[in-house]
Amino acid sequence: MDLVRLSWRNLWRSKRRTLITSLSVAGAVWMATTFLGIAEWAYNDMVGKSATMGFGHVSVAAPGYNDDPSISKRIANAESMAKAASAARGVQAVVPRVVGQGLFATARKTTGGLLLGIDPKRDTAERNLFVKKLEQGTALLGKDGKVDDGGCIIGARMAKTLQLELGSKLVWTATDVEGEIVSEVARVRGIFQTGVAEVDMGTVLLPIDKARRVLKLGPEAATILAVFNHEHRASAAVRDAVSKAVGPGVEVKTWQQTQPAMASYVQVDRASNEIFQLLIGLVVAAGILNTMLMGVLERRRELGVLLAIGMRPRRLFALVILESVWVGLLGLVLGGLLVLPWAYFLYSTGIDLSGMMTEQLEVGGVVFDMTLHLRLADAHYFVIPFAVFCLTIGAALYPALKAARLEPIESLRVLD
Amino acid sequence: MYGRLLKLAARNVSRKPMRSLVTSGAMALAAAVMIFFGAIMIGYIEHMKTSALAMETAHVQIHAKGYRDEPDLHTLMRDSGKIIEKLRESGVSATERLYGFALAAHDKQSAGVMLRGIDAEHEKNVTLLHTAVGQGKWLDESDPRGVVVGKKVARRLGLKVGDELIVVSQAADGATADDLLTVRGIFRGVSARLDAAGVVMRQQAFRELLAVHEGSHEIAIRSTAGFDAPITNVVEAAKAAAGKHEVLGWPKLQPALAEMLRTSDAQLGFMLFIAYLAVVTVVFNATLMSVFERMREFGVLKSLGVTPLQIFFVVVAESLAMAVIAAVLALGLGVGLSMAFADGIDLSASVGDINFNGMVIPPVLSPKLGVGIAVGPIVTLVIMVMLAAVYPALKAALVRPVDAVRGR
Repeated sequence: MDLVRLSWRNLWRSKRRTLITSLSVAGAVWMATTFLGIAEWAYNDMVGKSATMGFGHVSVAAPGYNDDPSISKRIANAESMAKAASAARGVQAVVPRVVGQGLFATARKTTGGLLLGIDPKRDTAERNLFVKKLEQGTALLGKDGKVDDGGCIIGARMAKTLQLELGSKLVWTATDVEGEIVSEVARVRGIFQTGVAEVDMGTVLLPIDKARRVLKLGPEAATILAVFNHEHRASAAVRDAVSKAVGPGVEVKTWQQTQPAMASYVQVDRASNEIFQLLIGLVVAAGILNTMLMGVLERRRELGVLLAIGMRPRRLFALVILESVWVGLLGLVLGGLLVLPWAYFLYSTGIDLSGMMTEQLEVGGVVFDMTLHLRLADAHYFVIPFAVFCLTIGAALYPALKAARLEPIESLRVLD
Repeated sequence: MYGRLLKLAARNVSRKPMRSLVTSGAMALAAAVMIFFGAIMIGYIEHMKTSALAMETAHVQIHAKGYRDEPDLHTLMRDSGKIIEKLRESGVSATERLYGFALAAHDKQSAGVMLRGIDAEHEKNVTLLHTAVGQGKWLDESDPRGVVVGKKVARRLGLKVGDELIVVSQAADGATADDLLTVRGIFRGVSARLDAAGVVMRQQAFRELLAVHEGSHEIAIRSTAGFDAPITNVVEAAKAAAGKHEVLGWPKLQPALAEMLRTSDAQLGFMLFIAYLAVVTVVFNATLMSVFERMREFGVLKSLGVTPLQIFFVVVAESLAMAVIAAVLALGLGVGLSMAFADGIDLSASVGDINFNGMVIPPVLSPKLGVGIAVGPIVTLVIMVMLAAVYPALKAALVRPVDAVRGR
């Protein structure tokens, strides 16, 4: 259409202004991508860490377990249920776990904490933060690939407090499903350090089959199935799929429900980040509004002529809006070119800030990674360009209105 | 002369009211939001500080050497009674605490817990722990076996107020220790440590259970002046009384908190920088445009004998005038917002407690205004705006009258 061509030509009559405006738009794209992307990566990292500490992105447990956890509330047929759950859409892995409480002692001292029964074959570094953070020893697997039934993995602080080394004996005590107190000896095969004091002080990992036997849970039982999916945003959909796959009689919950402290942090931080982005957006929009308005006022005479020869005000309005559409599109292309190498750098290398902080930061029970990386959720690829584009058009509304309302006679009188 | 130039600048600003308004508005919006953000952030960190100090840490703590690295029932300060006496004489509040691990069981369920034996009467002078009981009651003399438990302990063991709790541990003399305790109360969220494993009991009951007859593991001290008070004199008093034991102030006991306070300025500064980068672009753009539009005018002024310095002054003064309008608006809006929400924005309906470095903080945002928080963004704004005007002002000041008047 003529209007489209006319608006495109108008754009290049004032090259510097067009460039400055589209650079503002590109700047907005850059800013939003950087801030939202860095935050997204941090959330995914923290939720991932939190998930690999026990409950997964989605967890399956016996009814009532989440409100009142106890090993007597267990899933008896956990293994077959795990098989069913792994077939659900979006599921990467399903790991059965026994989560209980125990007392840990050596001849000298006693301490208490979390007892975690894991399957060393399935609880790999990727699925289990403790295995990933092993500082000494191995993950309960012998050289022949067999599970080391009499072994255990403990945290570094516990090792120090109880004066344990690799090969030392640890006595663990817990109540079994019948409420009887049971005790067993395990040898320390691995020592991990997550950096969170409470966790490093009070967590012991045992082979799940051993825990099943000693706690009389049954050969295929588990207290929870930890389900993993590729990113924290998709968990609600995965929960529904898993729920369908495993059938009724169990509770299926997302990480937001099982790890509420993490969910709160993500929610508050995301909200404040978005408010900040909106503010920046408004300031950028003010700049665009100014330039567009300038462009209209400068051309008052010319626009007056158009009106005088019969152009309808509505078309004039559309003309200015079309100009802003071009500026917006140009800005998006520029922004894309600008942000691509930067985003790739952040994604692959990141910025290490750990030198600036002397203390680690812990949020929701996991250590905050001091290297900034970038990751975009699927929604961002659409939301960021769309929001910036709308901002540009929104900023053009007033100038466009101004153009449409020009009085031809007065405009023609304007002196150049 | 400069008075007249100022008048000229003011008139120039009002010649394009819409543009001036939009530019000023953008500046004001950015500065106002920065004031509000800053107030919320400082309010939150302060809140975190008071709740961490008021609930557990107090101002200064004394431990036997080595206890903090390796908490052991036997690593006691045997002379804790004397130390506390000396501390109270020197005019600070002090209380002693004992810690020991035990297996707690209730109704077929068990959990490892950390028993904390406190001096219930004196603890009240040092911390506000007694106000953190969510259900039931605080410890009382009349109920020597009564305990108050952390909320996750209660959940894990299925405990309600009035339930009985069996604890099993190893006493200091090596014998097996067990006891039947009654749940008097359940704490609301206090700290990750207390929530997950804390069982708070009267000191006497702790001593009898674990056979620790004298001494204690921790002495917590607080200045009587309140939690915001400086701690130097408390540290002095503690050092004088502690003898060979280790004395640590709260920044050492809660290093992450101290770090947050230390870096909060840098964090705010970074946000300010980003927001103002956008503002500077807007101002730069607007000023440059208005200068180019008026080149002819500047040429005329120069031919009439106005010096380049005076023209420079006019252009900068125009930006300054807009910045001043923006500053007034921003101050009003930012301070107004902060005061309007002074009671706190309570997000607890949709968001749970937030756990930062083991400190459990309810999601209530209470803006806290300070002079620095209100004035910092304003002063930065004025400076940045003036810097943004330098290049356009130079352009105007250095124009050749002949070219400008000819319209080149």
